[in-house]
Amino acid sequence: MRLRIPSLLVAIGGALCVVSASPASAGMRLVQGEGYAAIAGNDVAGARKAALAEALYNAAGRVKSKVRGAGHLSTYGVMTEETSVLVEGTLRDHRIVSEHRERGRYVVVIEALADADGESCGTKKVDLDVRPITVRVAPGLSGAIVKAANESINRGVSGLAAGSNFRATDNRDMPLPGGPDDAARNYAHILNAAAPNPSGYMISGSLIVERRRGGNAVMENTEIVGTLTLKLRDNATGSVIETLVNTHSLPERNRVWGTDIDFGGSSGSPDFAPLWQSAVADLDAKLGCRPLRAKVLDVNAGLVTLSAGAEHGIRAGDYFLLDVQGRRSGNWQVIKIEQTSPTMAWGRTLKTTPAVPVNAMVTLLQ
Amino acid sequence: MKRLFAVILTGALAGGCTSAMESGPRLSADGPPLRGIGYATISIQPGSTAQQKQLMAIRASRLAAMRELAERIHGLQVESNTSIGEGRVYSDNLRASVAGIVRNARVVSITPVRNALYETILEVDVAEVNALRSSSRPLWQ
Repeated sequence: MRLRIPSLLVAIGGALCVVSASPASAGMRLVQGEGYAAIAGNDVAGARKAALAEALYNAAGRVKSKVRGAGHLSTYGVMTEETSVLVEGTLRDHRIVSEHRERGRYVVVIEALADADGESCGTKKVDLDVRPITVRVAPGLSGAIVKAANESINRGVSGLAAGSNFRATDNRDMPLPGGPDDAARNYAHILNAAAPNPSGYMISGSLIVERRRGGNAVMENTEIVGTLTLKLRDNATGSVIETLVNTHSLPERNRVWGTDIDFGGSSGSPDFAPLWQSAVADLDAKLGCRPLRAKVLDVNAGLVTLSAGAEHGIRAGDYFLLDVQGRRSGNWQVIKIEQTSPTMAWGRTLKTTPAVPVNAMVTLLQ
Repeated sequence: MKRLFAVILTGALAGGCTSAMESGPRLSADGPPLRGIGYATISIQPGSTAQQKQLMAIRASRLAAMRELAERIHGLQVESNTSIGEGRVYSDNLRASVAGIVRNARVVSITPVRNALYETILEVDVAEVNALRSSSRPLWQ
Protein backbone atom coordinates (compact mmCIF):
# COMPACT_ATOMS: atom_id res chain seq x y z
CA MET A 1 0.00 0.00 0.00
CA ARG A 2 1.33 3.39 -0.91
CA LEU A 3 1.49 5.74 2.05
CA ARG A 4 -0.62 8.87 1.86
CA ILE A 5 1.88 10.95 3.79
CA PRO A 6 3.69 12.36 0.74
CA SER A 7 0.47 13.66 -0.79
CA LEU A 8 -0.52 15.06 2.59
CA LEU A 9 2.78 16.85 2.88
CA VAL A 10 2.40 18.24 -0.62
CA ALA A 11 -1.00 19.60 0.33
CA ILE A 12 0.29 21.13 3.56
CA GLY A 13 3.30 22.61 1.85
CA GLY A 14 1.20 23.96 -0.98
CA ALA A 15 -1.17 25.60 1.44
CA LEU A 16 1.58 27.16 3.44
CA CYS A 17 3.78 28.29 0.63
CA VAL A 18 2.29 31.29 -1.10
CA VAL A 19 4.48 31.61 -4.14
CA SER A 20 3.90 35.07 -5.45
CA ALA A 21 5.20 36.97 -8.41
CA SER A 22 4.71 40.27 -6.65
CA PRO A 23 7.82 42.27 -5.85
CA ALA A 24 9.52 41.69 -2.57
CA SER A 25 8.13 44.16 -0.13
CA ALA A 26 8.76 45.33 3.39
CA GLY A 27 10.00 42.88 5.95
CA MET A 28 11.40 39.97 3.98
CA ARG A 29 13.84 37.36 5.15
CA LEU A 30 15.71 34.40 3.76
CA VAL A 31 15.14 31.01 5.37
CA GLN A 32 16.40 27.54 4.64
CA GLY A 33 14.46 24.35 4.93
CA GLU A 34 15.30 20.71 4.43
CA GLY A 35 12.89 17.90 3.71
CA TYR A 36 13.13 14.11 3.70
CA ALA A 37 10.78 11.59 2.18
CA ALA A 38 10.94 7.81 1.92
CA ILE A 39 11.14 6.39 -1.59
CA ALA A 40 8.26 3.94 -1.61
CA GLY A 41 8.11 1.44 -4.45
CA ASN A 42 10.76 3.20 -6.54
CA ASP A 43 8.53 6.26 -6.83
CA VAL A 44 11.36 8.77 -6.86
CA ALA A 45 9.22 11.56 -8.31
CA GLY A 46 6.66 11.16 -5.55
CA ALA A 47 9.37 11.12 -2.91
CA ARG A 48 10.88 14.26 -4.38
CA LYS A 49 7.54 16.06 -4.20
CA ALA A 50 7.03 14.96 -0.64
CA ALA A 51 10.55 16.02 0.36
CA LEU A 52 10.02 19.42 -1.25
CA ALA A 53 6.74 19.87 0.60
CA GLU A 54 8.46 18.91 3.84
CA ALA A 55 11.25 21.39 3.13
CA LEU A 56 8.70 24.16 2.51
CA TYR A 57 6.90 23.22 5.70
CA ASN A 58 10.13 23.36 7.70
CA ALA A 59 11.12 26.69 6.15
CA ALA A 60 7.72 28.17 6.98
CA GLY A 61 8.07 26.77 10.50
CA ARG A 62 11.30 28.64 10.95
CA VAL A 63 9.47 31.89 10.23
CA LYS A 64 6.69 31.40 12.75
CA SER A 65 5.36 28.42 14.67
CA LYS A 66 2.67 28.47 17.31
CA VAL A 67 3.32 25.75 19.83
CA ARG A 68 0.71 24.40 22.21
CA GLY A 69 1.23 21.54 24.57
CA ALA A 70 -0.41 20.06 27.62
CA GLY A 71 0.46 17.26 30.00
CA HIS A 72 -1.88 15.81 32.58
CA LEU A 73 -0.89 13.64 35.54
CA SER A 74 -3.74 12.14 37.54
CA THR A 75 -3.89 10.55 40.99
CA TYR A 76 -2.62 7.14 40.02
CA GLY A 77 0.17 8.22 37.76
CA VAL A 78 -1.80 8.04 34.52
CA MET A 79 -0.27 10.57 32.23
CA THR A 80 -1.44 12.03 28.94
CA GLU A 81 0.48 14.44 26.82
CA GLU A 82 -0.35 16.36 23.67
CA THR A 83 1.65 18.75 21.55
CA SER A 84 0.58 20.65 18.47
CA VAL A 85 2.58 22.98 16.28
CA LEU A 86 0.79 25.34 13.94
CA VAL A 87 3.07 26.67 11.23
CA GLU A 88 2.10 30.18 10.16
CA GLY A 89 5.03 31.43 8.12
CA THR A 90 4.32 32.71 4.62
CA LEU A 91 6.81 31.96 1.88
CA ARG A 92 6.82 34.19 -1.16
CA ASP A 93 9.23 32.29 -3.29
CA HIS A 94 11.77 29.52 -3.10
CA ARG A 95 14.54 27.78 -4.95
CA ILE A 96 16.02 24.34 -4.53
CA VAL A 97 19.58 24.56 -3.27
CA SER A 98 20.30 20.84 -3.43
CA GLU A 99 18.55 17.50 -3.80
CA HIS A 100 19.80 13.94 -3.66
CA ARG A 101 18.95 10.35 -2.81
CA GLU A 102 20.25 9.00 0.46
CA ARG A 103 19.71 5.44 1.76
CA GLY A 104 16.18 4.88 0.52
CA ARG A 105 15.02 8.43 1.01
CA TYR A 106 15.03 11.64 -0.96
CA VAL A 107 16.47 14.84 0.52
CA VAL A 108 15.66 18.36 -0.68
CA VAL A 109 17.21 21.56 0.68
CA ILE A 110 15.58 24.85 -0.26
CA GLU A 111 16.12 28.53 0.26
CA ALA A 112 12.94 30.58 0.56
CA LEU A 113 11.91 34.22 0.75
CA ALA A 114 9.54 34.69 3.64
CA ASP A 115 7.43 37.49 5.02
CA ALA A 116 8.96 38.73 8.25
CA ASP A 117 5.74 40.39 9.30
CA GLY A 118 5.43 40.93 13.04
CA GLU A 119 8.99 40.10 13.83
CA SER A 120 11.09 42.12 16.17
CA CYS A 121 12.39 45.32 14.68
CA GLY A 122 16.05 45.50 13.94
CA THR A 123 18.83 47.75 15.08
CA LYS A 124 19.56 49.21 11.66
CA LYS A 125 19.34 52.93 11.00
CA VAL A 126 17.54 54.42 8.03
CA ASP A 127 18.56 57.76 6.51
CA LEU A 128 16.41 60.67 7.62
CA ASP A 129 16.78 63.88 5.64
CA VAL A 130 15.67 66.93 7.66
CA ARG A 131 14.23 69.65 5.42
CA PRO A 132 12.90 73.10 6.34
CA ILE A 133 10.78 73.34 9.45
CA THR A 134 9.11 76.73 9.57
CA VAL A 135 8.24 78.61 12.74
CA ARG A 136 5.01 80.57 12.90
CA VAL A 137 4.34 82.55 16.05
CA ALA A 138 1.00 84.22 16.70
CA PRO A 139 1.11 88.04 16.79
CA GLY A 140 1.32 89.55 20.22
CA LEU A 141 3.51 86.92 21.81
CA SER A 142 6.64 88.14 23.49
CA GLY A 143 10.04 88.13 21.86
CA ALA A 144 11.24 85.56 24.40
CA ILE A 145 8.68 83.06 23.14
CA VAL A 146 9.61 83.70 19.51
CA LYS A 147 13.26 83.21 20.36
CA ALA A 148 12.53 80.04 22.33
CA ALA A 149 10.52 78.60 19.46
CA ASN A 150 13.31 79.27 16.96
CA GLU A 151 15.97 77.86 19.24
CA SER A 152 13.91 74.78 19.94
CA ILE A 153 14.05 73.91 16.24
CA ASN A 154 17.84 73.88 16.28
CA ARG A 155 18.00 71.91 19.50
CA GLY A 156 15.30 69.57 18.30
CA VAL A 157 17.03 68.78 15.03
CA SER A 158 20.26 68.16 16.93
CA GLY A 159 18.31 65.88 19.22
CA LEU A 160 17.05 63.85 16.26
CA ALA A 161 20.50 62.31 16.09
CA ALA A 162 19.62 60.63 19.38
CA GLY A 163 16.98 58.54 17.63
CA SER A 164 18.00 54.91 17.71
CA ASN A 165 16.38 53.91 14.42
CA PHE A 166 17.50 56.60 12.03
CA ARG A 167 20.53 58.55 10.91
CA ALA A 168 19.50 62.19 10.62
CA THR A 169 21.10 64.71 8.27
CA ASP A 170 20.34 68.39 8.69
CA ASN A 171 19.55 69.82 5.25
CA ARG A 172 17.32 72.66 6.39
CA ASP A 173 19.47 75.53 5.22
CA MET A 174 21.64 73.91 2.56
CA PRO A 175 24.79 75.90 3.35
CA LEU A 176 26.80 76.78 0.28
CA PRO A 177 30.30 75.30 0.43
CA GLY A 178 31.70 77.49 -2.33
CA GLY A 179 30.99 80.78 -0.61
CA PRO A 180 29.72 83.80 -2.56
CA ASP A 181 32.31 83.46 -5.36
CA ASP A 182 32.15 79.82 -6.47
CA ALA A 183 28.74 79.69 -8.13
CA ALA A 184 29.44 76.48 -10.06
CA ARG A 185 30.33 74.56 -6.92
CA ASN A 186 27.33 75.95 -5.08
CA TYR A 187 25.05 75.01 -7.94
CA ALA A 188 26.40 71.45 -8.02
CA HIS A 189 25.98 71.19 -4.26
CA ILE A 190 22.39 72.41 -4.38
CA LEU A 191 21.56 69.95 -7.14
CA ASN A 192 23.10 67.12 -5.18
CA ALA A 193 21.59 68.04 -1.84
CA ALA A 194 18.19 68.80 -3.29
CA ALA A 195 17.90 65.27 -4.64
CA PRO A 196 16.85 63.19 -1.65
CA ASN A 197 18.48 59.85 -0.95
CA PRO A 198 15.99 57.42 -2.52
CA SER A 199 16.62 54.76 0.06
CA GLY A 200 15.82 57.07 2.99
CA TYR A 201 13.06 59.24 4.36
CA MET A 202 12.52 62.97 4.67
CA ILE A 203 10.81 65.18 7.23
CA SER A 204 9.65 68.75 6.92
CA GLY A 205 6.97 70.71 8.67
CA SER A 206 6.18 73.57 10.95
CA LEU A 207 6.10 74.69 14.55
CA ILE A 208 3.11 76.88 15.31
CA VAL A 209 3.07 78.78 18.58
CA GLU A 210 -0.12 80.49 19.71
CA ARG A 211 -1.87 81.68 22.82
CA ARG A 212 -4.92 79.85 24.09
CA ARG A 213 -7.32 81.68 26.40
CA GLY A 214 -9.32 79.91 29.05
CA GLY A 215 -10.61 80.85 32.47
CA ASN A 216 -14.01 82.00 33.65
CA ALA A 217 -15.77 85.09 34.98
CA VAL A 218 -13.32 85.39 37.84
CA MET A 219 -10.04 83.97 36.59
CA GLU A 220 -8.03 84.89 33.56
CA ASN A 221 -6.19 81.85 32.32
CA THR A 222 -3.89 81.75 29.28
CA GLU A 223 -1.33 79.30 28.05
CA ILE A 224 1.18 79.10 25.22
CA VAL A 225 0.53 76.16 22.92
CA GLY A 226 3.16 74.81 20.57
CA THR A 227 2.09 72.45 17.78
CA LEU A 228 4.80 70.63 15.89
CA THR A 229 3.65 69.08 12.63
CA LEU A 230 6.14 66.91 10.77
CA LYS A 231 5.45 65.26 7.43
CA LEU A 232 7.37 62.05 6.94
CA ARG A 233 7.96 61.22 3.29
CA ASP A 234 9.26 58.09 1.66
CA ASN A 235 11.95 59.29 -0.73
CA ALA A 236 11.54 56.28 -3.01
CA THR A 237 7.93 57.12 -3.82
CA GLY A 238 7.73 60.75 -2.75
CA SER A 239 4.54 60.07 -0.84
CA VAL A 240 3.78 61.30 2.65
CA ILE A 241 3.61 58.15 4.75
CA GLU A 242 2.76 59.80 8.04
CA THR A 243 1.93 63.21 9.46
CA LEU A 244 3.15 63.44 13.02
CA VAL A 245 1.44 66.07 15.16
CA ASN A 246 2.58 66.79 18.70
CA THR A 247 1.24 69.50 20.97
CA HIS A 248 2.66 70.92 24.15
CA SER A 249 1.19 73.71 26.27
CA LEU A 250 2.94 75.98 28.73
CA PRO A 251 1.01 77.94 31.38
CA GLU A 252 1.35 81.68 30.87
CA ARG A 253 -1.09 83.56 33.14
CA ASN A 254 -3.47 82.43 35.83
CA ARG A 255 -4.81 85.40 37.70
CA VAL A 256 -7.93 87.13 38.88
CA TRP A 257 -9.38 89.48 36.28
CA GLY A 258 -8.22 93.06 36.69
CA THR A 259 -5.47 92.24 39.15
CA ASP A 260 -1.81 91.31 38.93
CA ILE A 261 -2.13 88.51 41.47
CA ASP A 262 -0.77 85.44 39.74
CA PHE A 263 -1.81 81.94 40.90
CA GLY A 264 0.92 79.88 39.32
CA GLY A 265 1.53 81.07 35.78
CA SER A 266 4.69 80.80 33.72
CA SER A 267 7.69 79.83 35.76
CA GLY A 268 10.30 81.15 33.35
CA SER A 269 11.30 81.01 29.70
CA PRO A 270 9.13 78.64 27.63
CA ASP A 271 10.61 75.25 26.91
CA PHE A 272 9.48 73.29 23.84
CA ALA A 273 11.80 70.34 24.46
CA PRO A 274 8.92 67.94 25.31
CA LEU A 275 7.54 68.53 21.81
CA TRP A 276 10.72 67.28 20.25
CA GLN A 277 11.06 64.37 22.62
CA SER A 278 7.60 63.22 21.53
CA ALA A 279 8.51 63.75 17.88
CA VAL A 280 11.71 61.68 18.19
CA ALA A 281 9.78 58.91 19.92
CA ASP A 282 7.16 58.96 17.14
CA LEU A 283 9.81 58.83 14.44
CA ASP A 284 11.56 55.98 16.22
CA ALA A 285 8.30 54.07 16.31
CA LYS A 286 7.48 54.76 12.66
CA LEU A 287 10.89 54.06 11.21
CA GLY A 288 12.06 51.36 13.61
CA CYS A 289 10.27 48.48 11.90
CA ARG A 290 10.76 49.63 8.33
CA PRO A 291 13.27 47.51 6.45
CA LEU A 292 16.47 49.24 5.53
CA ARG A 293 16.89 49.92 1.82
CA ALA A 294 19.99 50.75 -0.16
CA LYS A 295 20.81 51.81 -3.67
CA VAL A 296 23.15 49.85 -5.92
CA LEU A 297 25.97 52.30 -6.69
CA ASP A 298 28.16 50.05 -8.77
CA VAL A 299 28.50 46.49 -10.03
CA ASN A 300 31.96 45.36 -11.01
CA ALA A 301 32.99 41.75 -11.63
CA GLY A 302 30.26 40.43 -9.37
CA LEU A 303 31.09 42.86 -6.58
CA VAL A 304 28.10 45.03 -5.74
CA THR A 305 28.52 48.40 -4.01
CA LEU A 306 25.60 49.59 -1.90
CA SER A 307 24.78 53.01 -0.48
CA ALA A 308 24.37 51.88 3.15
CA GLY A 309 27.22 51.06 5.49
CA ALA A 310 28.33 50.63 9.06
CA GLU A 311 26.67 53.88 10.18
CA HIS A 312 23.37 52.34 9.12
CA GLY A 313 24.13 49.24 11.16
CA ILE A 314 25.13 47.07 8.22
CA ARG A 315 27.64 44.34 9.02
CA ALA A 316 29.46 41.68 7.05
CA GLY A 317 27.15 38.69 6.72
CA ASP A 318 23.96 40.72 6.24
CA TYR A 319 21.81 39.94 3.22
CA PHE A 320 20.06 42.30 0.81
CA LEU A 321 17.28 41.32 -1.54
CA LEU A 322 17.07 42.74 -5.03
CA ASP A 323 13.60 44.21 -5.33
CA VAL A 324 12.61 43.85 -8.98
CA GLN A 325 9.15 44.95 -10.07
CA GLY A 326 7.26 42.24 -11.88
CA ARG A 327 9.90 39.61 -11.35
CA ARG A 328 9.14 36.03 -12.31
CA SER A 329 9.00 33.32 -9.71
CA GLY A 330 12.52 32.37 -8.64
CA ASN A 331 13.98 35.39 -10.38
CA TRP A 332 15.18 37.18 -7.26
CA GLN A 333 18.69 37.93 -6.24
CA VAL A 334 20.33 38.07 -2.85
CA ILE A 335 23.50 40.00 -2.07
CA LYS A 336 25.65 38.88 0.85
CA ILE A 337 27.67 41.70 2.41
CA GLU A 338 31.38 41.04 2.76
CA GLN A 339 32.80 44.41 3.74
CA THR A 340 31.55 47.78 4.97
CA SER A 341 32.72 51.36 5.24
CA PRO A 342 30.84 53.99 7.28
CA THR A 343 28.44 54.78 4.45
CA MET A 344 28.88 51.99 1.92
CA ALA A 345 28.91 48.23 1.77
CA TRP A 346 30.29 45.70 -0.67
CA GLY A 347 28.88 42.28 -1.30
CA ARG A 348 28.49 39.46 -3.78
CA THR A 349 25.41 37.89 -5.26
CA LEU A 350 24.47 34.39 -4.15
CA LYS A 351 23.28 33.33 -7.60
CA THR A 352 24.64 33.93 -11.04
CA THR A 353 21.32 35.27 -12.35
CA PRO A 354 19.54 37.63 -12.50
CA ALA A 355 22.09 40.41 -12.92
CA VAL A 356 22.00 43.31 -10.49
CA PRO A 357 21.49 46.62 -12.33
CA VAL A 358 23.14 49.83 -11.16
CA ASN A 359 20.73 52.21 -9.37
CA ALA A 360 18.43 49.32 -8.38
CA MET A 361 16.97 49.40 -4.90
CA VAL A 362 17.73 46.51 -2.56
CA THR A 363 16.12 45.71 0.77
CA LEU A 364 17.80 44.34 3.86
CA LEU A 365 16.62 40.87 4.75
CA GLN A 366 15.92 40.37 8.44
CA MET B 1 -23.25 10.40 62.29
CA LYS B 2 -19.84 11.01 61.44
CA ARG B 3 -19.57 12.17 57.87
CA LEU B 4 -16.64 12.45 55.66
CA PHE B 5 -15.98 15.90 54.42
CA ALA B 6 -13.50 17.12 51.95
CA VAL B 7 -11.00 19.85 52.24
CA ILE B 8 -10.08 21.19 48.88
CA LEU B 9 -6.68 22.59 48.29
CA THR B 10 -6.29 24.27 45.01
CA GLY B 11 -3.01 25.82 44.12
CA ALA B 12 -1.26 27.07 41.14
CA LEU B 13 2.28 25.89 41.33
CA ALA B 14 4.87 27.64 39.29
CA GLY B 15 7.55 25.35 37.99
CA GLY B 16 8.71 27.54 35.17
CA CYS B 17 5.69 29.74 35.42
CA THR B 18 6.02 33.41 34.59
CA SER B 19 4.19 36.54 35.58
CA ALA B 20 1.04 37.60 33.80
CA MET B 21 2.70 40.53 32.10
CA GLU B 22 5.90 39.13 30.63
CA SER B 23 7.05 36.02 28.89
CA GLY B 24 10.24 35.95 30.89
CA PRO B 25 13.36 37.86 31.86
CA ARG B 26 15.81 39.16 29.29
CA LEU B 27 18.83 36.96 28.78
CA SER B 28 22.38 38.17 28.48
CA ALA B 29 23.12 38.99 24.85
CA ASP B 30 26.35 36.97 24.79
CA GLY B 31 24.81 33.90 26.37
CA PRO B 32 24.54 30.52 24.67
CA PRO B 33 21.51 29.75 22.51
CA LEU B 34 18.51 28.07 24.12
CA ARG B 35 18.17 24.41 23.21
CA GLY B 36 15.24 22.06 23.09
CA ILE B 37 15.63 18.28 22.85
CA GLY B 38 12.89 15.92 21.70
CA TYR B 39 12.68 12.13 21.44
CA ALA B 40 10.33 9.84 19.56
CA THR B 41 10.17 6.05 19.35
CA ILE B 42 10.37 4.61 15.84
CA SER B 43 8.36 1.44 16.33
CA ILE B 44 5.10 3.14 17.35
CA GLN B 45 5.01 5.48 14.36
CA PRO B 46 2.52 5.00 11.50
CA GLY B 47 3.91 3.79 8.17
CA SER B 48 4.18 0.63 6.15
CA THR B 49 7.96 0.58 5.79
CA ALA B 50 10.84 1.13 8.17
CA GLN B 51 11.86 4.25 6.25
CA GLN B 52 8.43 5.80 6.64
CA LYS B 53 8.39 5.07 10.36
CA GLN B 54 11.82 6.61 10.71
CA LEU B 55 10.72 9.78 8.97
CA MET B 56 7.63 10.06 11.15
CA ALA B 57 9.80 9.54 14.23
CA ILE B 58 12.03 12.38 13.07
CA ARG B 59 8.96 14.54 12.69
CA ALA B 60 7.59 13.62 16.11
CA SER B 61 10.92 14.21 17.81
CA ARG B 62 11.16 17.60 16.11
CA LEU B 63 7.74 18.55 17.49
CA ALA B 64 8.76 17.42 20.96
CA ALA B 65 11.90 19.52 20.70
CA MET B 66 9.84 22.48 19.54
CA ARG B 67 7.62 22.10 22.58
CA GLU B 68 10.57 22.05 24.94
CA LEU B 69 11.93 25.14 23.24
CA ALA B 70 8.56 26.89 23.71
CA GLU B 71 8.63 25.91 27.38
CA ARG B 72 12.07 27.40 27.80
CA ILE B 73 11.18 30.60 25.98
CA HIS B 74 7.70 31.30 27.33
CA GLY B 75 7.58 29.23 30.48
CA LEU B 76 5.22 26.54 31.65
CA GLN B 77 1.86 27.06 33.28
CA VAL B 78 1.32 24.49 36.00
CA GLU B 79 -1.98 23.89 37.76
CA SER B 80 -2.57 21.36 40.48
CA ASN B 81 -5.65 20.30 42.35
CA THR B 82 -5.41 18.09 45.41
CA SER B 83 -8.38 16.92 47.47
CA ILE B 84 -7.98 15.43 50.92
CA GLY B 85 -10.43 14.37 53.60
CA GLU B 86 -9.54 13.34 57.14
CA GLY B 87 -5.94 13.41 56.29
CA ARG B 88 -6.35 11.14 53.28
CA VAL B 89 -5.71 12.12 49.68
CA TYR B 90 -8.73 11.55 47.46
CA SER B 91 -7.45 12.94 44.22
CA ASP B 92 -4.35 14.61 43.00
CA ASN B 93 -4.21 16.14 39.54
CA LEU B 94 -1.48 18.10 37.91
CA ARG B 95 -1.72 19.80 34.56
CA ALA B 96 1.14 21.54 32.80
CA SER B 97 0.61 23.52 29.61
CA VAL B 98 2.67 25.62 27.28
CA ALA B 99 1.60 27.93 24.48
CA GLY B 100 3.74 30.38 22.60
CA ILE B 101 5.33 31.45 19.35
CA VAL B 102 8.73 30.16 18.29
CA ARG B 103 10.70 31.77 15.50
CA ASN B 104 14.02 31.00 13.87
CA ALA B 105 14.49 27.61 15.50
CA ARG B 106 17.28 25.81 13.71
CA VAL B 107 18.04 22.13 13.69
CA VAL B 108 21.29 21.30 15.46
CA SER B 109 21.09 17.55 15.01
CA ILE B 110 18.77 14.66 14.21
CA THR B 111 20.28 11.49 15.60
CA PRO B 112 19.04 7.90 15.72
CA VAL B 113 19.58 6.33 19.15
CA ARG B 114 20.25 2.56 19.00
CA ASN B 115 17.87 2.29 16.02
CA ALA B 116 14.98 2.52 18.47
CA LEU B 117 14.27 6.22 18.70
CA TYR B 118 15.23 9.54 17.24
CA GLU B 119 16.64 12.53 19.06
CA THR B 120 16.24 16.02 17.61
CA ILE B 121 17.97 19.09 19.01
CA LEU B 122 16.72 22.57 18.07
CA GLU B 123 18.15 25.87 19.20
CA VAL B 124 17.25 29.56 19.14
CA ASP B 125 19.64 32.48 19.56
CA VAL B 126 19.43 34.56 22.72
CA ALA B 127 18.60 37.72 20.75
CA GLU B 128 15.61 35.96 19.23
CA VAL B 129 14.51 34.71 22.66
CA ASN B 130 14.64 38.24 24.05
CA ALA B 131 12.72 39.57 21.07
CA LEU B 132 10.06 36.87 21.42
CA ARG B 133 9.72 37.52 25.12
CA SER B 134 9.37 41.25 24.68
CA SER B 135 7.08 41.18 21.65
CA SER B 136 4.72 38.35 22.45
CA ARG B 137 3.10 37.08 25.55
CA PRO B 138 2.47 33.39 26.01
CA LEU B 139 -0.71 32.48 24.17
CA TRP B 140 -2.50 31.50 27.37
CA GLN B 141 -2.37 35.11 28.65
